[in-house]
Amino acid sequence: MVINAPSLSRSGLSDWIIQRFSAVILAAYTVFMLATLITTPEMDYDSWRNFFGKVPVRLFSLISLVALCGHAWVGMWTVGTDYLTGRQLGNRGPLVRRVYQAFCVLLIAVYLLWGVQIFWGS
Amino acid sequence: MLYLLQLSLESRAGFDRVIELMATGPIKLILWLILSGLLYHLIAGVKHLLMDWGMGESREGALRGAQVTLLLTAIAVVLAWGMIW
Repeated sequence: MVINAPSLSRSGLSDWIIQRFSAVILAAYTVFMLATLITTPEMDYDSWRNFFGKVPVRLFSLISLVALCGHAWVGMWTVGTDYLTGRQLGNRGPLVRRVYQAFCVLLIAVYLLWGVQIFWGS
Repeated sequence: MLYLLQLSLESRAGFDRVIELMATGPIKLILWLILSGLLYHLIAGVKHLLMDWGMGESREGALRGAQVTLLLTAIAVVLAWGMIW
C-alpha cells in the first residue's frame, strides 16, 4: 500500500484530468498523422519537409509532444505505484520506485527537449 | 522514432537514408510492433474514455467492450501489417 506518493502534480484529480485531456489530444494527433500518411503515400523530401513546415502542423506536433510527456508521466507513475512498492520489493520498494521515477522524468525530459528541437529548429 | 523523424527532415540525404532504412526487414518489423502497440493502446484508451462517460460499466458491458476492443485491435494490426509490408 502506498502511503504517500507525490506525482509532481497537485493532486490525484489533476493527474486524472491530465491523462484524459492529453489522451484526447494524442488520439487526434495519431488519427491526423495516420490519415496524412495513408492519403499521401508518395511524399518526396520537399513535400515532407513543407508538410512539417506548416505552422498548424508544427503547433499541433508541439502540443502533442507536451501532451505525450504528461500522458507518459502519469502512466509511468501509475505503473510505479502499482508494482514497485513495499508489497512486492519489501522495505527497499519505495526507494526502487524513486529511482525508477527519476529515470522516467529524465527520459521524458530528453524526449521533450529533443522533440522541441526538431519541430522548432527545422 | 524521433531519430528517424529528425534524420528525415534534416536533409535530402537524410530523407533518402530513412527511406532506405525503412525498406529493411528488421526496421519494418520494429515499426509494425510499435504501431500495433499504439493502435491497441488507442483503441483500449477510447474504450476507457467511454467508460469514464459511464458506458459499459456493467459486467456485460465491460465484457462486450473488451471483446470489441480486441476485435478492432486485431483488424487494425492486420491493416498496419499491410500498410508497412
